[in-house]
Amino acid sequence: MTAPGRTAQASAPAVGVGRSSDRPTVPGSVTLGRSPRRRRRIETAYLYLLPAALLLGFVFLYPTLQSIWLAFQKNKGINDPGTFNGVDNFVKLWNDPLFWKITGQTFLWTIGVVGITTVLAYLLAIVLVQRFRGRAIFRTIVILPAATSLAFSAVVWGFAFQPENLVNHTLAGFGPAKGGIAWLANVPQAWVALIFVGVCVSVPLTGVMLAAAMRSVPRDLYEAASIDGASRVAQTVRITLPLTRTMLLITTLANFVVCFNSFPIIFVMTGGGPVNRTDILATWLYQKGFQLLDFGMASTLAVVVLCALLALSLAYVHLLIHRTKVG
Amino acid sequence: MAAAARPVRARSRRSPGDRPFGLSLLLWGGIVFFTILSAFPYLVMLSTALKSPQELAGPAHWIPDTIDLSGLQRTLADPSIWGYFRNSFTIAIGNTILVMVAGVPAAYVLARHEFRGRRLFLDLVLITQMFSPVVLLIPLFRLYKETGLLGSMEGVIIAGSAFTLPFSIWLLTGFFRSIPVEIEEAARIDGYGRLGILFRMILPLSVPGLVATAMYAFIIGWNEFIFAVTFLIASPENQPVSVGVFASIGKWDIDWQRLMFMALLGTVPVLALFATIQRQLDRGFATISSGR
Amino acid sequence: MASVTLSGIRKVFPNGFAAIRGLDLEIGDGEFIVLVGPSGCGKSTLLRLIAGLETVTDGAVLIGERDVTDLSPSERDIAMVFQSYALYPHMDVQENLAFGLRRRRTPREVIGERVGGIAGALGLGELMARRPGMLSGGQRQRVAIGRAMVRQPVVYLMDEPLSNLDAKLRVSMRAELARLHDRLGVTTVYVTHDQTEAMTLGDRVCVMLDGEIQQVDAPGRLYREPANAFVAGFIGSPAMNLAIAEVADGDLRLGDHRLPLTEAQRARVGARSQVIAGLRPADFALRAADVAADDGTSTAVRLPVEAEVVEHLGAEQLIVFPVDAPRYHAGPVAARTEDEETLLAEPARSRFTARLDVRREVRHGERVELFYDPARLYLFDAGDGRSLAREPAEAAG
Repeated sequence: MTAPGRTAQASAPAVGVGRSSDRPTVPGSVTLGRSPRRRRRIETAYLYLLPAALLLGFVFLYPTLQSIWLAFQKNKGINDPGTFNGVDNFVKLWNDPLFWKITGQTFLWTIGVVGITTVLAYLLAIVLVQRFRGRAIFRTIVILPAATSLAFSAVVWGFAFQPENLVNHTLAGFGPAKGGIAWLANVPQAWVALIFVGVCVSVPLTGVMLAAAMRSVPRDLYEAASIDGASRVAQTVRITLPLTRTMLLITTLANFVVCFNSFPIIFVMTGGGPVNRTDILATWLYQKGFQLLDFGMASTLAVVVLCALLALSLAYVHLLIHRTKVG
Repeated sequence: MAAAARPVRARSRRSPGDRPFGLSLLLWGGIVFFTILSAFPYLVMLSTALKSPQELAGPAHWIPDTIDLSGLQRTLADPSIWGYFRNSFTIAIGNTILVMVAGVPAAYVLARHEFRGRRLFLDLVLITQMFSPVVLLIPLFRLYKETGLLGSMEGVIIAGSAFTLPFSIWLLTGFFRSIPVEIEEAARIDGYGRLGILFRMILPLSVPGLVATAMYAFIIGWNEFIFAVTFLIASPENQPVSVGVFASIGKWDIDWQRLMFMALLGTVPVLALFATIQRQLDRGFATISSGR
Repeated sequence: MASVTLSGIRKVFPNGFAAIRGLDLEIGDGEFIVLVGPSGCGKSTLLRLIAGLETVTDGAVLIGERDVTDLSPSERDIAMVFQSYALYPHMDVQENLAFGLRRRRTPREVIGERVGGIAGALGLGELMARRPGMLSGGQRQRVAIGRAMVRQPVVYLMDEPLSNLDAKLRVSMRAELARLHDRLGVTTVYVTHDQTEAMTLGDRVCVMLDGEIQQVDAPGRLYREPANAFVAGFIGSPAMNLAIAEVADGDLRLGDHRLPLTEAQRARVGARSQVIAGLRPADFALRAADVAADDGTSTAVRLPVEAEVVEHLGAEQLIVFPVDAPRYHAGPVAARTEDEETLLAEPARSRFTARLDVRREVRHGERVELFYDPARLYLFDAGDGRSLAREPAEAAG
């Protein structure tokens, strides 16, 4: 016979004991919150993380700390022991009009590439989820740029964008735009070319990711919507878009970070020229560090870039973890 | 275009031609547009690689008048080419090994176990995604100089694999998670420890995921550029193809034919790999959007 | 073979959820005990604590005389059958069966012998080279049970092992499990949410709610003498009718109906102004003679009702009639079984079900008179739901 409700925790043996009424004595204390075994298991968990932690620590953690240390130094290259100069570098950077100009260019480049990429990738995703003859081949062709080294893409595009080359030749085929545009030597044109290439290399992966999100929208939602009389346009706006919103936010932010940090395309195609007018912070940093060998200033710039991205990264982490519970 | 945004079931009874003409037109317009956009660099490579130097010097056009394979001959005849490819391969394999060795155990505990610091680790891994290699070049350069890694492929592999690791861990975690926990519990009752379960249950059951992740790491390693161009600048004998191609455009007289052949040879193998792992990557992406 | 003793068990998960809130239970050697309760009641957690797949926050687990609280699952000498079977997908049936033994360094001949024996006993002979993916649900189930048996453990732990089978197979596997237990006589702890399974399989049934044991008893006793309103409502199908009744002049008022109390019941109700009244659907009849108490101490109570819904089940019929009294919900909202959440529910009214014979078929909307034996009326405290009948068996006969 049992008493319902709350069971006395350590005292009364009355509840739930069936055949024998005398409780066995419990050898040893069992009230420890964590048994030694449990603690051991947790420690081995850290052991499993160790290789990854070492690798990340060696490449990310230590160099980051060094960057911060260098940022407060006057340091001209690898053999310079460096001298502490406080916030001089930061002040100098703040007062450097070129810094502000290049920051502006960085945002121009980033927002240009990400904006156009997002729109085009969404359209690509819509195409990717359709059924048509040759879909498998199309999927493979379209994803190619994602597997291609940015260095190769940049070299090839840089070649094609030369004044007497294939881009102009192709444009000439369309009539009004007569050949002979020196794409990479003049400024507004150079940005058009760079952003175009930036978009070309980021659309495929973004499109594939968005398509994956679209495919995971339950099909019966569309069936329910068409029974409710929603047109295909309405279905896209009312169902596909809201349900792929998370992925859209993830890809947009990821692309933003990647573009902000982007290096090979500009480095290979224009090298930041003419006269820094196509530089972004990342290429300028490289130039300062490895062409002008100003390790101090370059590190200061690196710290500034990192801090700027950290603000963004917080938003990014929040989105990934708190909105979609990744990991 | 937007009107067609509903995924179509793989084997629906509707035939492909079953959509309104206007939508079909839009769809095929999109297909053509994206095909050209994606294929453009390859068309450029092919078109250029197959033209003779004389034809290249003339006005630009797409279709070569005559197919000229002398560029390929010059490419294959150049002994330094083989060095470039061998180095690319070494870096790619090194990247793969390091990423798997560090990534598999980490992804396994992250997928399966709750422990203090798990959240912190994941947050830190995510934050590394904010880093550009450029930002770390100077301190790494100094660090490598001190440790003697400068100019070696090992240095490039270490830096590159650290940048490959986060996404790989995340891919692997997804694959490990898709294995039912009960199978592990059954193995625990059968007397297997964490390591035994990892090697006898998890790894055999996630072979497709492991292969996909390894290929991903290989591709990233193969395409490595920024660390290679910085750390190997003074060690041409250790440079991979990507740097080789880049270095040759700095020269006075560029042999575009040879360069394009190099680029083609440097891309096609990884493209084949990439095409094979597409499905697994897709699955990985689908898990993000489903918010697991 | 061994008994299992749980004393002072508490389990709080890292997220703060207290799955088991202090619990003692002794399972006899060779006993088949069933843990049953609504989802989230802690029954699976309790099983996993016995298995060692989870570690207890407080308390001790003893298997036989051995304190296994800090031992790993494999050291506890138990075997478990999972709801999803958890067969190793990359191994064939033979390897699945042998896997646990190989780990234990059992000599090869012994493994072969045992695996062969089990395979023969369960009719797996022809499936030995197949992988789980090529087996039907029933076959997988057999392999899962075989994998547990081959280990020759002192305790079997089964976590809803039949819930993935279709209804027909479930009934036959249930009988097979019962036979298997009779033959092997190994202590078995069996988790299910299906009270029919619990009642048919268990030597004893342990009803749980919110991480606490509500009652542990033999199935018949659980049915006849529920310790509280939750158990009363959970055990039995269709479920016991429960509603809140007012006490008036020594009788109960349930909406328009007056339910007379026996002397004994009146004494138990005491000074309460409200009680929970319970009547089992099977205790109703269409004729007074069918419910007359055996000893003639009570006379059948007449209940005029309107049949709102009539379900003809062939050998019997269920009629549902409204009662103008508040429904009683056992347990927290989360624990309510789905059938309690009827469409168009009205909280101030209850719907009672009566299970009647088919000598006279009731029509939809018909007004009929039902009879029941007042001694069969269950009474529970309106506050904590405890049964007011310490010894209802006496009264009910």
